[in-house]
Amino acid sequence: MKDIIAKRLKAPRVDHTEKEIILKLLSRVFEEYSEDSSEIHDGLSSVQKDGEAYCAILHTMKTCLCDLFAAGTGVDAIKYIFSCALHIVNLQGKTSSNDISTHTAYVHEFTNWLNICGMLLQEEELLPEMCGVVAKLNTSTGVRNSNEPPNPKFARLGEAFDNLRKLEDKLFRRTLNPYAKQRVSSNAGQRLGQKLKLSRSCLKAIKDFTDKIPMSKSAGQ
Amino acid sequence: MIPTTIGIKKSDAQDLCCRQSVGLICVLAALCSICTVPSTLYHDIFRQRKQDDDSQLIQHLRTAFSCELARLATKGFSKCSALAMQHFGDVLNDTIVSLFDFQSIKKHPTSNTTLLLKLGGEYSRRKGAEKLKQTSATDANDFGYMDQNLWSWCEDAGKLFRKWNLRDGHTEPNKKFWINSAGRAIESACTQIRTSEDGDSPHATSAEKECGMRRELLRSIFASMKQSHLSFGDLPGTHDGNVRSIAGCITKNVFFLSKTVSYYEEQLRWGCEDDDSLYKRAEIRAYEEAYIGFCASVLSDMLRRIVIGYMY
Repeated sequence: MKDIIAKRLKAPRVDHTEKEIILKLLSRVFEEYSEDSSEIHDGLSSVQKDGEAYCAILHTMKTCLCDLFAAGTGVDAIKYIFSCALHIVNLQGKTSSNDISTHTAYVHEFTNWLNICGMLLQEEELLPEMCGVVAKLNTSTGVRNSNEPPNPKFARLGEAFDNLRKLEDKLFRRTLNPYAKQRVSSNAGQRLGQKLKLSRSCLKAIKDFTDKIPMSKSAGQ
Repeated sequence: MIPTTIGIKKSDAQDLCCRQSVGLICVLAALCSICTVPSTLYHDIFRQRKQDDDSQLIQHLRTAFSCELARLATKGFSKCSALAMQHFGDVLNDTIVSLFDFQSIKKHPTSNTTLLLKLGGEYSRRKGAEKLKQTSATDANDFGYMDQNLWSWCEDAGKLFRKWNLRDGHTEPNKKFWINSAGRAIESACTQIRTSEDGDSPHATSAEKECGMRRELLRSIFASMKQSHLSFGDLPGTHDGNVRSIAGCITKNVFFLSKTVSYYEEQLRWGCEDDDSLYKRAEIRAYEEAYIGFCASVLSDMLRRIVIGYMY
């Protein structure tokens, strides 16, 4: 699955309809999986045993979401990312709270990052600028440039990116992705962001996530 | 073995090859009943070549071969039976791949008239209902080769696995127990489906119903694994091959599905908003809904039975 699904979701040139369908499938899988309470016990052990796999899925979703922002398309795919993340984080949230592994930290930071993205996405006037900022933050390597982002509303987003990146360095081997180092100007991002119009169902999925998954107090600190 | 496609338009050529080659494959399976065949038969004939864009065709032929081999094995041809047992993993793999085949599901009309109405309006709902009514009265023979044979093949495979024993190539007794119980589970699921259909041919009248039947069959296979305390990684001769195969074939099918969805969405963006275009778009979205629901159900079931690391 990792080789096939992750590669399709991470590849920037894969059609966004295909990404949308894969994400819809993943979202349904985790929804059905977490719905069956009789199997939750097994689910917990699975999450704990396979933290790496769950982190890999979340990392794939992060890459995919950033690519969608950069391309300014795929409203339905964005919807399914939020819906899928909600199910995975819910499932993972039921594991032991004393667990302080890197995997748990990654899920925690991912949740905060997606929460910040979700809150910003709900402010329609910020959308064009946000697409540009996300595309830029995602493609910049190493530590974030201190001059960016320009809008203070995006400061926490920048920090969330940094926190995730630090954990990703520990968790995943960095692979050379020729697309990842493409330079994205903020104007280009804004231009693309203007194309992106979030549907009512997409906004509902985002709101569901931000309402149901509270952001941790330490986020962004 | 596989006819070339030189000089013919690709899709037509593939259709032609598909139709004509199945006959050849059946002859090959029949030959296996009288000849001694090398153990590398599957690998030699059906291997996927690098940059092979006929992979769909090769998979189709491989499936037809497994189907015919299982049929001959249950008819009492001992050499076919021995060959099928020896290639237990391949036969099981092909059965599973066929159950996930989106193209064969798409041959059934959709019964999701609510979605047809929502996306395509009243015209689409009416057209969908008419198509459903027409197909209900259609003879099963109007469907393609594999669609006609899928359920009888599953039943044959079930009989074959039920009789599988240690002499047939693999080692551990608990795996024998699983193969036998998987065989029983497949056979009983097929019988149950046939009984609920009130007929000899368990032909679904809608894509949604077909998906439901396939899901039940796959669930019964997984349930038999749970009963035997086995995971996919324990299967003889397949290792985690079945998980990879399931993930791979779902991804392939999703790829083809997304191409069709993109085509109709693109048409809509270019302004094709006539009733028939809207119907086609609504119909493919209904198939998408059915197929994704089916795959999600099977995958979540697998997730309950194996650790996620195997899948991801």
